Amino acid sequence: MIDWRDWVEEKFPDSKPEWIQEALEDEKSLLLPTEQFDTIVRALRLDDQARFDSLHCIAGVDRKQYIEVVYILFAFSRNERLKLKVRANNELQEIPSITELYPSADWHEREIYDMFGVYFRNHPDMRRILMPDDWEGHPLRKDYVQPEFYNGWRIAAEEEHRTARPVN
Amino acid sequence: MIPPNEGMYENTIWITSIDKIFRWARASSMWPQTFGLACCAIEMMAAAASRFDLDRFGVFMRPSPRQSDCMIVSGTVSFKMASRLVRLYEQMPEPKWVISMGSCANSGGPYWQGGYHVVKGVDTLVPVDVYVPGCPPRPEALIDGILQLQGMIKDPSKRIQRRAS
Repeated sequence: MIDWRDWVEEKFPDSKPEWIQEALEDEKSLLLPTEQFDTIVRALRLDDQARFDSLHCIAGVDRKQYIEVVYILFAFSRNERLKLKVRANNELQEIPSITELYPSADWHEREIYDMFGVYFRNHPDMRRILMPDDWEGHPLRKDYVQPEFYNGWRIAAEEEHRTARPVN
Repeated sequence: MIPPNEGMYENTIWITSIDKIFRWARASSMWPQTFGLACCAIEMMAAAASRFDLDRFGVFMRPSPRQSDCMIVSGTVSFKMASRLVRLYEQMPEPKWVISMGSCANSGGPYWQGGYHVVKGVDTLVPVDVYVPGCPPRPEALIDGILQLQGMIKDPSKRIQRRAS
């Protein structure tokens, strides 16, 4: 079984990939540099040795200092799973899009953008997918402040709604 | 010449007011629009399908707001949907009624606190006549709500006070 950290380091010497140990013992994820992320994933997708031909899911995590995006790749030929992590820690909070390599990433990336405000560079259609286009803020961020009104409707429940009304 | 029989017109001619006739007609052929939003819509479909058969009560789903006089808000109303919901309500011809089905439509339900995207009660958008509780309500509960609404249409004194939206 190939150690994917060594494999990536051999192909991209200045990328400095790292294994991150997860809470479960046999669970590791590979931290990749943000700038080279799309080229490394391209290699993992197209190289004959790697050939991770399926993207299982993309998830976003707000770690407060940075937003982390987790990708799970899968290789059908070897029944092997690889978890990638990349951090949007620069000012613009940009991550290169991999929609070109995995078309299924399209809506996932839009959802991460919608919920966390991570901008995916080179995405063909980078706009919100769930929330209305004119919504303020990105709801799953830790520093999200809920606006009081949207389009004239109050978002939080009013105090008077909490008391039961008599029905005649 | 045969004279009319004694009691021939018994139970065949009724004297009533035009209002009452209209109310009877409106209550007996209430057409809700097909407007499902979440899991409550599954129960609404079950209520309309053959097992529970809303057609028995003259309730028949219509695919257009122009042809319907009742809106069953079945499910979670998000703020993105809210403007569409109000628009659909405004497209319905008068007289029109609204049934709020399930906890989400009644009050926001499980999204009461921390639900950033859910309208806290559809009665903040449109006036609601009947609230059907449940998460989701069983088809029997929806049928009961429809019967309550029909009773209200037949006898306006039964109508609850609508909350100003």
